[in-house]
Amino acid sequence: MTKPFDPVKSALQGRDVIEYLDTHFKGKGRTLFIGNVGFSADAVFCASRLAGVPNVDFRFIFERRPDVPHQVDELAKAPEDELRQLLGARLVIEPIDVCASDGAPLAGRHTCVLTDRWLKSAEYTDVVVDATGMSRSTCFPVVKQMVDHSRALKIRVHLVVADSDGNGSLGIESVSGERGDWIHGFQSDIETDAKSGALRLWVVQLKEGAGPVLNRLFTDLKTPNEVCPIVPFPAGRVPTRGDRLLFDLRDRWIDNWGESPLSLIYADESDPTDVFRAIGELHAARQDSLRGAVDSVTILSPLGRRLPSIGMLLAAQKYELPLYYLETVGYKVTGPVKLACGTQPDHLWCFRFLPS
Amino acid sequence: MINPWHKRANELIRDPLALLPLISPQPVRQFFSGDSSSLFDRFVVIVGSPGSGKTTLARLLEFSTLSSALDAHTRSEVRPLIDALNSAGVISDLKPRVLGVRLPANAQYRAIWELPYSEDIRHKLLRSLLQARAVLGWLRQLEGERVALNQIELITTGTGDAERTAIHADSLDQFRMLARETELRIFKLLSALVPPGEAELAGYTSSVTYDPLSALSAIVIKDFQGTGESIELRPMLMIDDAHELHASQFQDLDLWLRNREVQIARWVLTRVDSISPSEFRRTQLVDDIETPLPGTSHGRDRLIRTLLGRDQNRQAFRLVAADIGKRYLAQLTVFANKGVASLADALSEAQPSLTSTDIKNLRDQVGALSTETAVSQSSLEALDQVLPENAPEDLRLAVTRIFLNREALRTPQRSLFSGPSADEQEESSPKKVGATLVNGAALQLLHEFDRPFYFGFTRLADASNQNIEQFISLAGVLVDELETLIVRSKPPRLDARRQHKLLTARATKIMDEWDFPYAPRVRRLVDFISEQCVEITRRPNAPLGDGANAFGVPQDDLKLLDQDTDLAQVIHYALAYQAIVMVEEYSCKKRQWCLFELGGIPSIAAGLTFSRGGFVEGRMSQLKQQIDR
Amino acid sequence: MKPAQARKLIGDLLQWSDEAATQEFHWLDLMVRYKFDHYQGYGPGRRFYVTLLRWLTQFDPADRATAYRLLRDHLIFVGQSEMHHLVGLSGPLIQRDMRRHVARLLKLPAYMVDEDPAAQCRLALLQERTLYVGVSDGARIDVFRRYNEGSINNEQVVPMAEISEAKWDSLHKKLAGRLKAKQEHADAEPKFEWVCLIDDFTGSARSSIWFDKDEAKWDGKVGKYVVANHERLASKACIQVHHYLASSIAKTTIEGRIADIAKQYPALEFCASFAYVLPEAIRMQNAADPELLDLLKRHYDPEIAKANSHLGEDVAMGYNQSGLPLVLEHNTPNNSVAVLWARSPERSGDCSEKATIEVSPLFPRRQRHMDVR
Repeated sequence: MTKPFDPVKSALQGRDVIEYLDTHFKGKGRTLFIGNVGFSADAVFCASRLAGVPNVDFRFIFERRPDVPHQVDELAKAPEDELRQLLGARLVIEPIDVCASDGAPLAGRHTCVLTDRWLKSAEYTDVVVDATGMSRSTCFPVVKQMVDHSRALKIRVHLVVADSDGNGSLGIESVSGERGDWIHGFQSDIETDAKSGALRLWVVQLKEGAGPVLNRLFTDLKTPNEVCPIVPFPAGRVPTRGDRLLFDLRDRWIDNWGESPLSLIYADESDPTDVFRAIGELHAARQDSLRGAVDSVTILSPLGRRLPSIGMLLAAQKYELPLYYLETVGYKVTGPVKLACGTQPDHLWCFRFLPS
Repeated sequence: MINPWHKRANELIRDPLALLPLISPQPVRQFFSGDSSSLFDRFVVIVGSPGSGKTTLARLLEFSTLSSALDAHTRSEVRPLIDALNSAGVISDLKPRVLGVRLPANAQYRAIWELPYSEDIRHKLLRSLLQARAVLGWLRQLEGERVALNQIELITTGTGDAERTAIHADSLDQFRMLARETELRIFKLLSALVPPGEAELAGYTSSVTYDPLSALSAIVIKDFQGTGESIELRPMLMIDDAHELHASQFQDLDLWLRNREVQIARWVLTRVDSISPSEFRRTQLVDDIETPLPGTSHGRDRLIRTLLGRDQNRQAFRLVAADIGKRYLAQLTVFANKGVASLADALSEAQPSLTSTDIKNLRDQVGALSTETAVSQSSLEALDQVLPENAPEDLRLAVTRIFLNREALRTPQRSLFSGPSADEQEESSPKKVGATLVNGAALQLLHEFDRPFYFGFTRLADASNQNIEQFISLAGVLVDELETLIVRSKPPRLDARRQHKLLTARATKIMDEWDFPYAPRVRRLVDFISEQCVEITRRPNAPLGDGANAFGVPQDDLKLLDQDTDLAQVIHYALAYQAIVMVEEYSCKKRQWCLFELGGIPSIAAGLTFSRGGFVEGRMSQLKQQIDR
Repeated sequence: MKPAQARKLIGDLLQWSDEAATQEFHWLDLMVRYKFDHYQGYGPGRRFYVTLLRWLTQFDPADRATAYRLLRDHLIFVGQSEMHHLVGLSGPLIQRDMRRHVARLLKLPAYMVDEDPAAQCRLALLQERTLYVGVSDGARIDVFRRYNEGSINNEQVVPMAEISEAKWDSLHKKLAGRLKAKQEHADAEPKFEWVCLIDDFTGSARSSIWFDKDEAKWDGKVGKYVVANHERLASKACIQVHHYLASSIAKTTIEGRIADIAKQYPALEFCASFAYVLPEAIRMQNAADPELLDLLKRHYDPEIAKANSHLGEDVAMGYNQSGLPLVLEHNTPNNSVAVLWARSPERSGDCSEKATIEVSPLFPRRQRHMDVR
């Protein structure tokens, strides 16, 4: 008897992803590829592997932000040019405003309308969502939407993501919006009266310089009862990164949140399945121990490195957990800005959602 | 042990009993001074910047916090707060009089505006959702204080049976059920990945028209706390952070809540940048109670109240800051054990002095200038009279230097105390001239010789822009250092140099960590204004006395903001995060100016005065140029 | 000693300004509570602050600030929670390697293993015929077992490399029973085709695998295991050498040596895996702090090497000159710089034998029988 297909246990990594992209899609039905155009050099990689497959329709989102320095805009031209060269007329780019003129987050809502239209424009058997370079508030609702559709329309959904350790675009820091929001589609029922008395456990990635953002999120979430900060470990090239984050952000996690080292969750920065497992175990344990006593909600907030965030998405998707997020509304240039050379990303992951 | 100086914001404190000792009663008394009944019988808009205490005030008035306060009324640190609330009519005879619920206007409310429906439907959905959540919030608060549903009676005055029936006012279970259903239905619309079209909204009619607040006037609790007594509570809705709503939503809220048919107490708390500058400016002078607009329905009115200082008398905030300092220090045993109860006592106000080499340098400069300008002895003596008696030599020399430089520039008829020259702005009495000149001299010594300027409790309080959070953020670094001194068995007192260094580093760090929309461009704006202000502050003749901390443009230049949304956005966020403060229609040299005054943090980082009035003249186009660079 | 008192003394020893002291006191306060005081080489009354005071006083006053930099800027302290996390990462990592192995066996792309029923079946068989061996106490095989409850049978986990005949019989019997219980595997040979040799840390690969030229045989935990057991295993069985934590030198060395051992045992395959490989840049020789490097070399007692002759002649930079600034909560590896773990041996009262330098450790090392990693 075969086991049900588990997208996390069957995750593909590294060269296996390349093999998959190179071999699986040839000769299959029509495939919709949804990607993002921006200054992330890694965002071209997956599309480039599929460029030679004629049955793939390439649709790219361009996230418009209100405050982007011209150097960053310039940087985004190179990947876009590369995509045009690779894909020619097959490349369709449509813009999405990530926030309204008053700063209200919009990305998820507007993206879902767009991707719904794309999906319904033809009969697809496969949808590839390339999360590389895509904002979480754009990517996560699209993945949820496609996975929901996969059951109804019997399509295969492939979530791919590439990331590099060296920070491919040096000299650029993100500037956060001031309005947090539930990632569209991941509100759960947390804001309803039924959940008003529920204990709130907040699981949040720590990131350098994120003090003000963490403050805002914590306040927005009505000072959750408990917080489990995610600390990067292993942390690639800087083994002490976790310790430094804990020191730099001690005002937050010790003074503001009242937590201790017993609450820390460690997560491999380069492995989304690690965060997924940690959240799954935590959520299951809490549900089990608090059942019958008091209601509990686990809220996730992705920040920082992309791969652990994907782990959060997978957990939110599986356990129907709410995700709260502060959008990036602009960028700050802090040093010489340069794009990484077009080499292979350091990390590649693929998660497959098969219609059951 | 949690350090309240590191916590910084009261809204991070969950437990009301932990929050109460940290709330200073002064701002509460100040806020409710005058006729406080008008704060509960009409629509009130409360305006303040982040950290001004809006949310703390709203939390204080929530039923659960009031109940906690009353339970703790015998505690000495809570008693003054109880008295203030009693004077305001929020409580009486140790019983609450309002049933307050605070609803943060979060992104979900704003998201209603993005639904693909007519404006009318969208406004109705917002009103319905707010009302549903208000009702549910009231009931939760009451249940939290062990009030059972069967103890609650809803009073509807001036409405018919139909209205009572529509909201199920005679059955609290159904009253709540209806509110829950309304909330859930609207929530489903908001959380749908792709929402249904307007044509498919047939099933949502009741949710769109849910309107209990047009009927409800009071809530009676029978057998309150088992005393057999009934108490009547005025329901109160506080919509916090209303600036997060879309402008059209805010307008509709305004229209709705001004209506006298709404009988509950209703407040909207918002940021300064969400009301028009002219509205804001009016509120600085008096409470703005607007009379009914011509041609509109009878009885509409609205009160606007600010949480910012109405004038430049900072004394009130200094008292608040001192009180907060005491309360916060009391929470740290290391200070309590050492008997350090007052932050002011730990911050030395003793004037620092320059090194002997630098003093000699200064003396030599003054000597050379004296010779050059051939100033009379009587003039020098007149100057001496306006200087503080205990001013140290370096300050005296620096003031004298300024005076001599002025002499070198002025015409023979003018004296130190005659009217301003071309590059000087208006000055008043000699005594005031003395004080501002001394500060100006001190600032010049800061820039030239690194002589500390930011020290003493008064300056710390003044640097806070009358913002409690900012005060705590700045004071926190001083408290950390004091704690180190105690650990090292040294006297817990910081000298001027150390205070100055810590505050300057802290201010710089805060600015480097600015992370809000348009922060990089706000930074450029602030850096530009700072540079201009430092230049004029350092001019040898100190034309502005204690220098500048603002960039002033002709009032008419503000029209550019209406035409340039990009510039307006940058200014909007600069104001919101107190990087700058806008002072409109400032009279100077017989003209009207708009001042873009640096906030306390950038002023410290740049080494500038906190006094209002000194500004660099310029044009709005220059600011535009900076942010476009 | 109360923390406040200790911090005061440390601040005085290091002659910190009050401003520097404020920052450093916060850092020490956090790290001591979070990690340092949990070091298993400490005990009541002799935890980190007391040890740090002693440690600092061994240096000349002029060198103390430099020595402190080792602690402040370079030290990597892997706490128990972090080590357990590496244990938790290992199960899925091993599973991914198994998938790839099955893909190779069936000549399928890796992605097909989870979609092809025959491949799924073959993978399930491989997973049944896997033995997980903890080759030292540090392998925390009990923790590994707990993390993999539900996916690994208890009878597939053994806490030691040297397994008696009786134990082997038992393991094989239980394996046969498990295979028979599943119809699709009933005919499979009850021999282990995948052996995962698990250890916690390797700094030089010496304790893991090396070729003894004198004895002309493979040694180390892996070497000994292969020599003793290669005939018990299924044909073309794979030996996976897995460490939770490794230095980059150790990784390279192990990969090289398993390629060599594979030549001598062609009936077996070998692979290496690591939950976390520390980057080369952390070695103190690469630290871009010449003053500190000089102190590490200078502040050394040659008697230490004499008392630990198996470590080589000069261990100022740790065994095999590894130069690691690494401490593990349960012990400090001797690959780390000596000033972290080494103690000058006791000497008699004769002044002529007194060393110029007497080294006192910050994180004293517990000696092991096989004291080379």
